[in-house]
Amino acid sequence: MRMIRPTNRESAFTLIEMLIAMVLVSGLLVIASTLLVRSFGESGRSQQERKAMQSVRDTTAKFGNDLRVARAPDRNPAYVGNGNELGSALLADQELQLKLPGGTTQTLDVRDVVEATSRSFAFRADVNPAAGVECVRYAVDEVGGPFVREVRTYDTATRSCGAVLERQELIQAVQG
Amino acid sequence: MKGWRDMVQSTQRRNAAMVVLAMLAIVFAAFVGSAQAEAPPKSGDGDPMEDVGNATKPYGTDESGNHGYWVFVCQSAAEAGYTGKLNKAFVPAIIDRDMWVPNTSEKKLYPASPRYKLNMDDPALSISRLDSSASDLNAAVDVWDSCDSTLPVASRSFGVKRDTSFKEPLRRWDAVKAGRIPYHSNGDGHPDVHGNGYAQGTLGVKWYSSFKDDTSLEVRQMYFRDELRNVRTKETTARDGLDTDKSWAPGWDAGWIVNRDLSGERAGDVFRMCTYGGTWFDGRYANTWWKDITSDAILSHNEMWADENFSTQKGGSTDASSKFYAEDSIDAAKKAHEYWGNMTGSGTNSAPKSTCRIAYDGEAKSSAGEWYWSDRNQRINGIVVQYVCGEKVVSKQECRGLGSGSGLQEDAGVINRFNSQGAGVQVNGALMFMLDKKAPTVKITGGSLDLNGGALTKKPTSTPDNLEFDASDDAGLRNVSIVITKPNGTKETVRDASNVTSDGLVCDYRYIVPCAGGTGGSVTDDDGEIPGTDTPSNNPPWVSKSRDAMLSDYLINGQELPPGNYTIAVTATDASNQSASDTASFSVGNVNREHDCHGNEITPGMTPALCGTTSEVCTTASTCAPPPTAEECCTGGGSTVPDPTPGKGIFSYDLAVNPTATGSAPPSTGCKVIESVIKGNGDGGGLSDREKNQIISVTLDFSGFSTLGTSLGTQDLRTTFDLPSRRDSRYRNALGCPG
Repeated sequence: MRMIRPTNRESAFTLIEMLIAMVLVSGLLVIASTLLVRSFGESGRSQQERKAMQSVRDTTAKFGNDLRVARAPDRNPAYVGNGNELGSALLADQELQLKLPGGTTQTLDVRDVVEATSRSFAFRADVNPAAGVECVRYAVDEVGGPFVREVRTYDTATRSCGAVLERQELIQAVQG
Repeated sequence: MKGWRDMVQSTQRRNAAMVVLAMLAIVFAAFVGSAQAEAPPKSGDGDPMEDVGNATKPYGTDESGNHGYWVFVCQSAAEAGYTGKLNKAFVPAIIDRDMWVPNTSEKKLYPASPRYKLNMDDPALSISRLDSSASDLNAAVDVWDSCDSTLPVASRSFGVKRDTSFKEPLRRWDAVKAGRIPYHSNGDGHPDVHGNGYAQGTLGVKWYSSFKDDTSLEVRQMYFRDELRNVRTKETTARDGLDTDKSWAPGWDAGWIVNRDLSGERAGDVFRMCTYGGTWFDGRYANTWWKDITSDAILSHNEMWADENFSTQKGGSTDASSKFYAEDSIDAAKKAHEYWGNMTGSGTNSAPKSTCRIAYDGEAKSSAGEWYWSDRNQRINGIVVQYVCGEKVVSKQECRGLGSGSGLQEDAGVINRFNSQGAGVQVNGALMFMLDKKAPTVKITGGSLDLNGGALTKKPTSTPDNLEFDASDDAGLRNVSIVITKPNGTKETVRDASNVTSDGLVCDYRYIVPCAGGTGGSVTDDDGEIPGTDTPSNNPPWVSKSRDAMLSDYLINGQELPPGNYTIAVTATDASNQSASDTASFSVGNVNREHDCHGNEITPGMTPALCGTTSEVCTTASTCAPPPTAEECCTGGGSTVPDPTPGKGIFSYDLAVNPTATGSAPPSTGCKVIESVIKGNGDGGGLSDREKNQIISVTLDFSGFSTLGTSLGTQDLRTTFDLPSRRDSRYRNALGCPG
């Protein structure tokens, strides 16, 4: 009688093969998880950006709308004087003394920009037609503070924006 | 004097006098009423002296509307700081007979010299001895002479009396004989009045007013208040010449003389007299009114010193109802053996004489008359007289005399003598209302101020211009003012100066001439807009007898005035509040003013704008003529707007800039646009007022927000807007940036 030996070596993976495979699978898993995590993170950031951009667009539109109704108190109806007088008033930042027929003089305020700095811009605008000309001011008054839009009264004596009539926060962001 | 007394003693005359008194009383009442219409309101007793004297308004008009002014005597002297000579234009003084009776036959009859008389050159020595044989007289008399400025209407008094403490009989006798100071008070030992003659002297007060013959001044009214007083001593020593016995009959009289110094054919000792009725006549002496205080009584020695029987009315010792002295004064007088009291009575005053003796070429005149002024007790205190003469100048007024009594000699060889030891006159006050029918004159004579429409073109640093003017008036200028009418029509008083002398008084009719050099008065400037000197450049150049003129100049920095047309008026106001003005005009051109470094004119109160980091102002003619451009003026030149600075500002601006644009003539070229201007490196620094008006667009940039700017494109965060107002072509043209 003669004995027969099984042939196992031909149907299984070797340990080395298994180790290599495991390493490869682990690497793939790492890559996949990393991509997945990154994918999830990038999705949240776009939402914030969209919100910010929308706020910017709203603010810009608001600013443009306000600016379209900007006007000096006495520039509507149209100024009827000559350019010399108007130029003198503007360049000296003074009220225009308009000489009328008969020798009388009318005082006209032809200035609309109230404040122009790197962090604020205020101008006189008729945002509320029923209430005359207001002072509209966009500004970041504090470093790190919000960008705000304010509608204020206009103080003729100091030529500056006066009491706040309306306050609207636009962007909650930190200025660098 | 004897004749007067005879007349008064005439019953017919007295009756006539009473009738005239009544008539005059009515007229007087009417006069006082009319005076009240001119003068400020009067107090209860109607004393015009007090009321007008207390008035604050020294001028007014008469019933015909003629302007005039009140002249206060004595008070005026006090105001003028009178301490010495009475050489004011209008002053009270005490005169003796010799000074107001010219060299007439009467004077020859009773020669005045040798005698003592008032020394007008030096009132402090009021009596000067002219008789060398009476060297001791001054030691035997008391003299007083005062002007009290503390009273409402200051008083002045003068008088003489014998010094009764001087006990050396012979010397006192010499004084009495030689003195006659005046006759009234010290008796008369002159041979001419010895025997049946009578002696009389006059102690009086006088005003003298000296006006130029060619003036328009005229005396309209005169009020006068004085007290004539008698001084006597209770002595009975006949040998001292004071024993009256039967030989005396004192009396007193008072009158007015209005005269003037005439020139030419009227020169000499002839007076020209004005009656209240409005007529002038020549005369030498006027005794319009007198009162016999003893009347027909020849008092005995005992009666004389009985005091209470010394009546101003008829009756003398028998008239118990008209006591001369007040009861409460008698005891004091007796104790002192001396009495100083009014020569007035408590009874009804006698009437002014209807037939006033006027020595007119030896003839009597009857047309003159006076009103006397009485208080409630009917004491004669003074005389009120009103002159209404059509002619003008009264160059001298002499008033009110106190005559002596007279004495009749009883025994041959006994020297005629009076009882009175002295007499005095106290002037409580006097005033005149002078008509001033001529307004002052004033004329702008020139100066360096370019008048009559000329434009001032001088540089700011040049010397001021001056305005010269002359002003004058007969009575004197009360005030001269300068008023400038500005281009906008408002008026500004730049000088309002009284004709003030160095002692602070107004140099007008009240002041001695020539006036002391003054400062020309003060200057007012209502709002400070009219630049000029605060002090006239020169004092009123007072010269001799020039109290009525004012010449001065006023400095004005006309080239610093705002541009436009100006009218300058000089107004002179005289003593009677009449005014006259002269005007001239000038203009100030819009050139040669100070400019800031932006080329803007610097007006009063304006803060020059900054030019970059400098605030340089063109202040010199070399830099400001012609008007500077910003480049020419500012240190470093260049643009009026700095280059944009980097930063993370939210806002940046585009500016349309034409440095040469001033507005007065918009330049057609030279405009440039400077983009993205940020002031202060983004830290909040702002544009200037001028720059704010040059903004043509504004950029809103959110890239400065860190969490946005790093991941988002600036394309989405940065938006530029045009300013709607700056699209107006007229606006841009005005800025010198058309398009």
